[in-house]
Amino acid sequence: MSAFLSLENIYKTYPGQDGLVLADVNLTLAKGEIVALLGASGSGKTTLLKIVSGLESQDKGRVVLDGKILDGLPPEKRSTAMVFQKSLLFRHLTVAENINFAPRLNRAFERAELRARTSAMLELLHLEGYGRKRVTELSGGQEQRVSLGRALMTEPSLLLLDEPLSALDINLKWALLMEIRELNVRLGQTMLYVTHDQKEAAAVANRVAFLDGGRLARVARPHEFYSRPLSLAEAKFFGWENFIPCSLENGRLRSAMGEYALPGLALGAYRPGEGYYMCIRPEAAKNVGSGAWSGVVKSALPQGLGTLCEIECRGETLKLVLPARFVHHPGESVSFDLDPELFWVVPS
Amino acid sequence: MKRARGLILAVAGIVLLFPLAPLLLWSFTTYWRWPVVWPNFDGGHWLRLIADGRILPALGNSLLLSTLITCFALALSFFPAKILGTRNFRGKRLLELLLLVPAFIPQISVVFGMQQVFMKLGLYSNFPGTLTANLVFYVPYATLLLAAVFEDYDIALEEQSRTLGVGRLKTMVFVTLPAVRSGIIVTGVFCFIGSWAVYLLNNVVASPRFHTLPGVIFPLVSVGNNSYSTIATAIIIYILPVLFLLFITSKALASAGNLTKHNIL
Amino acid sequence: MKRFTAVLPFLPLVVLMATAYVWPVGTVVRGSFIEADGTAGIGNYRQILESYYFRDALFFSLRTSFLSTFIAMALALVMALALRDTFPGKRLALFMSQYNLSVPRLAAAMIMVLLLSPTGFLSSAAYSLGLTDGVAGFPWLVYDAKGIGLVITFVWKFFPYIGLSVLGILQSASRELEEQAATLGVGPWRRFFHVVLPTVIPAVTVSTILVFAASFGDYEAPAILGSAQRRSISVMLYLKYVDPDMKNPPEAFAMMVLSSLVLMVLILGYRWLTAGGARKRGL
Repeated sequence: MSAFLSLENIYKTYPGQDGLVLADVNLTLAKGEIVALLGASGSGKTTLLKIVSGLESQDKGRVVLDGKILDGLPPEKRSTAMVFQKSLLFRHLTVAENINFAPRLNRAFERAELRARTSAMLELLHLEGYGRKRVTELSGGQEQRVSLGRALMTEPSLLLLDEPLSALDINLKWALLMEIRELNVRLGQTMLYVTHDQKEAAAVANRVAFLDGGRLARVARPHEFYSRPLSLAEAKFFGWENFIPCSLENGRLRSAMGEYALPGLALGAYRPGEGYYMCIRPEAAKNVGSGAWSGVVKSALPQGLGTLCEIECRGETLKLVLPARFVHHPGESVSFDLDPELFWVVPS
Repeated sequence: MKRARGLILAVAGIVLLFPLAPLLLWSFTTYWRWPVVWPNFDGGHWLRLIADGRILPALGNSLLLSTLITCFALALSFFPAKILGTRNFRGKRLLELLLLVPAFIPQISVVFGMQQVFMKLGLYSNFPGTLTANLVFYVPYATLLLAAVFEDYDIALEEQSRTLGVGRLKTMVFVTLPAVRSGIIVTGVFCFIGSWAVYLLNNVVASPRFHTLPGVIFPLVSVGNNSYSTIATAIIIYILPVLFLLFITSKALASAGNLTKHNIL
Repeated sequence: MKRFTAVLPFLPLVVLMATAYVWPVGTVVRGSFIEADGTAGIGNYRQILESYYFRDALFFSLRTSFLSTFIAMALALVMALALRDTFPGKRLALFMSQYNLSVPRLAAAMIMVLLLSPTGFLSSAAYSLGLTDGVAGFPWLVYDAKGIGLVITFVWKFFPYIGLSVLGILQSASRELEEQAATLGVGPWRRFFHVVLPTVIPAVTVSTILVFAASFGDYEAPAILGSAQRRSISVMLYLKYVDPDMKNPPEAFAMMVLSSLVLMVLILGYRWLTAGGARKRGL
């Protein structure tokens, strides 16, 4: 894989603020790839994006895009374009004027060419007929489409998206996610996509870069984060619950809840004697009513198809989702099995 | 509630507009004296005042002076106001308070000090000096008004423009200025109207050689024995330009709610 | 480097204010400490504290501006309450209620002379309607020692300033709080005194202070329609300074400094009070 964008040893601090915002971040993107930059708020993902775009400058390290070192260049001299969470449309301009804003001001094309490209972009974004409308007449999803089109009109080598869909409602979000993927394929557009939502990251990107406290913890395919987290932080971020301290002895997990052999896990990487957490996804419960495990329901929170229950079981409290067709009341006993596929172990 | 509103507005309308009635009636009268209410029609005062030879040049001076004050005040306050409105830094509250000082302290306490200093600087009784003296009051004022405008302005618009490849200067002209356009208009209108009213300051710092409209009109009442008709005509000439200005910008002023929200006006 | 670019825009402002404002203020302050024999001291201040004319002018101006501000505030509230909903003709009503923002104080004072003087328009109308039997039957509303004409002028001229601010608050912050209070079962009068007023008053502190200071320091209006028996502070200071005898301009300087100090103390006190009230209510 040849690197189209490479971030090399990026460090960043803010004056008057303790600690590093970014520490030794290394990341490469191939041409035409979408990478999602995922992290909790305050993990430094937006800062990293601003460093790539030139809105912030790093303390140390290099940004190389398409063989060109970008450091020190102002944002307008970089062939990157950014789409923000807020659509940031220019309210004094029409939709078409917003879309062709940059090439118009920079006189990038002849007038006829500009008009043709503008209407092509409107069409690409399913905004035909909206060109002359004022941007105040648009819905939230349309606004974000215009913002996207405005960035694409600059024909950026790299499109930077900073939580572009976070303000939208859930259905619109998935529809636009699909469109962004499509644009990536059709235009071969390289994208760096920042989000705090693991589902969004998994849906949009082929590779996810997970930032944790300013450090790039791991770059991997989305499903690897779900099935094989490498740390407690990662496990928590990707929806694992029920972290039970345990140790590894003779290839078996020993915890307060008892001793288990976990078939299907590659335990070779783990060393006996050290501390680990046993993680169980809440969806792991199955064979409810006939399983080998049993416990007492302490609380039940209906969630549609399932009910999220806290179950007192072998001295621990487990959070598990039980099918809603069984009615669960606090104080009731339930029995269930746990799906070994939804078990995992991380170092503590 | 609706009836109360109608009543309040009707009374307020009468109280607000009524003072203008004698102006209009008397300025078109030959000779008004007590107790005439409905006089005859005569436009002679207008012709005589205009032919007088003092009013028109003073009107020109005032227009020029207020226009320049407005332009300079906007130009000098734009960037400080942007910083004040969009950034947070230590001492910001204090700076805002200091900017209010020229509006608080009675001008009478300062103008004679200004006269002495301006004499030393060669700015006494000439156009540059008069302009400078007024700017002392209108640059801080415009800075505060514009800072309130910039508090509602999203600086991310500029970041957006620049990441799209548009440079600093073009971003300022095509993004920043249009975004704060109505705020700039309101600030400019208030500076113009404010400076249009300045009498004492101009009288002390500019008097002997530079006449503005209030400087010519003030003596009509305080000195001499002018008829109410002459005075009424002069007042109309004096207030018509600013009234007109307020009228044509009333749409922008309707958005001045944004300014008042920030407790400056 | 970044620091420098942040300070640079303030440079013209600072230079302007330092030379054309701070220096003149310094001149006045320094002058106020020069005594009749040319030495430095606080003799001028001691002298003016005993001066009846100074005290009288100061109290007269404070009273006038306090009354003007208070009445203007009350009118502004009523007006803003009437204007806050949307209704047909609102834009016209707004313009009507704000047009006299543009009328200079000098013109406002002159208009009041034409309107209110014993030989003015109202007096003529009253006589024509048979309400008075001559010039003498009409009350002295201008050139009067009570300052009635001044208060009327300032209220007429300044209440749109406060009104604009109040309207802004009533249309945004206060409205939601009132609706909240109404759903909690609080009636309209209690809403007005316990929700509207406590929200509006701290929020319009600066406009109130500006109106107070402008009425206090105004020269044009009292010069035109003030009385010769009781001068307001600006007129008194002007006459004192341009007095052809020019016996003691430093004494005039001391009066200028002292009256400004009194005003500043009042302003800061009021600000502290309203800010404190707002803080207590968690606004």
